[in-house]
Amino acid sequence: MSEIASAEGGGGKGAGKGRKKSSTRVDMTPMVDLGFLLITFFMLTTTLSKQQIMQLNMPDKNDKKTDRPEVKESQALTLLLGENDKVFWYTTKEGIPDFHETNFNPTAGIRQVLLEKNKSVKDLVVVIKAMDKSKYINVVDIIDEMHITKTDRYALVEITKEDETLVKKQLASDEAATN
Amino acid sequence: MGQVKSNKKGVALDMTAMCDVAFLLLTFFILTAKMKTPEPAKFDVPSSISDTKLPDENVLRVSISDKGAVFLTVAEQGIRRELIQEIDKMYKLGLTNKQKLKFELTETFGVPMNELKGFLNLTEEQKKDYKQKGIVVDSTNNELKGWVRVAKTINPSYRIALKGDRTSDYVIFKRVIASFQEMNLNKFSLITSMEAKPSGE
Repeated sequence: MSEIASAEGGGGKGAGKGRKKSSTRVDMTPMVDLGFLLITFFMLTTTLSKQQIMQLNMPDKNDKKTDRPEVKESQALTLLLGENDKVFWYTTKEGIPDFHETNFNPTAGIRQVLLEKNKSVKDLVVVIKAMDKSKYINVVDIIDEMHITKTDRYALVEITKEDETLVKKQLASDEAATN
Repeated sequence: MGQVKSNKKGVALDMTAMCDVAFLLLTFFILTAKMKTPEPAKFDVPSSISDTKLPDENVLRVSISDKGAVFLTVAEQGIRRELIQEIDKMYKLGLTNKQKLKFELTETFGVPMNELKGFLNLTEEQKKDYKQKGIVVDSTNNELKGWVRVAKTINPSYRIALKGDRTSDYVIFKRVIASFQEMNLNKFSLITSMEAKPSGE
């Protein structure tokens, strides 16, 4: 802006060599402004679009090997994912399940259960079974919880009839309790 | 007058260099930026604490929309060209060269095999309103397996990335995973968005 004003002033006064030189200079402030605005835009959009991935390895179905390590009853923790973001978990003792219900609450949900079990049980093995009514986000969340609580040994397996009846029983007792 | 003028001249910076740098950077970002192609359905991915980045190459993406429709994304145009040739032969679709070219230009698609021909006849305008039903993933008629098997033979180094909407049903996810397992593909990358790690753990 100042340049333009000075150039005009120079023109009015009559031509001198120095003034002529200054009048050829273009004010680049708006151009630089625009340039940096666009840079900012492209920087933000390109770096944020990079996607993260979470690795998921499934057991090989064709693998018929029988030398898999046995998992003791006391080491296993079974998680069941239900509808409406519900999580059920149980451990078994002599074939009798100890059944609980919880959720994905970061301070009072399944994370605390996992942290506690990780401390008390050596070589904990978590078996994740998702019910058909659960959502995709539940699966991702539970695997994420495994990473957060540093539980290395987990597997995603199909749900069994027995598990479903356990969940039904729990839900029925819930309803009875609220009524 | 003379004094005022010299003062004014003194505050003017030479911005040529700065301008050069700015536009150099701008050019760099414009050239490296990837155009985001419009997606045919809603994919709102869940978040996780994982910070592994999705590789740029050799990724075969299977997406599950919020309605449970399954889409396939083949990023490389060359592979899409071979893919449609093979699929055309395999399923005897009888596609014309024009339709094949159209397929080449479609990065993400999710139509049942019997609707593919009709889908490739649509103009760009019509495509916007067209609801893609998703690739069929039934136990009796699993077209996803056909697509993936052909894509895998064209590019054996493909890895499978799964992109699911957070509200999509687990059943669909289970079916997709099961069809990959039948093909002996057991490693998946689940695409998630970044989430901060909980502190103190």
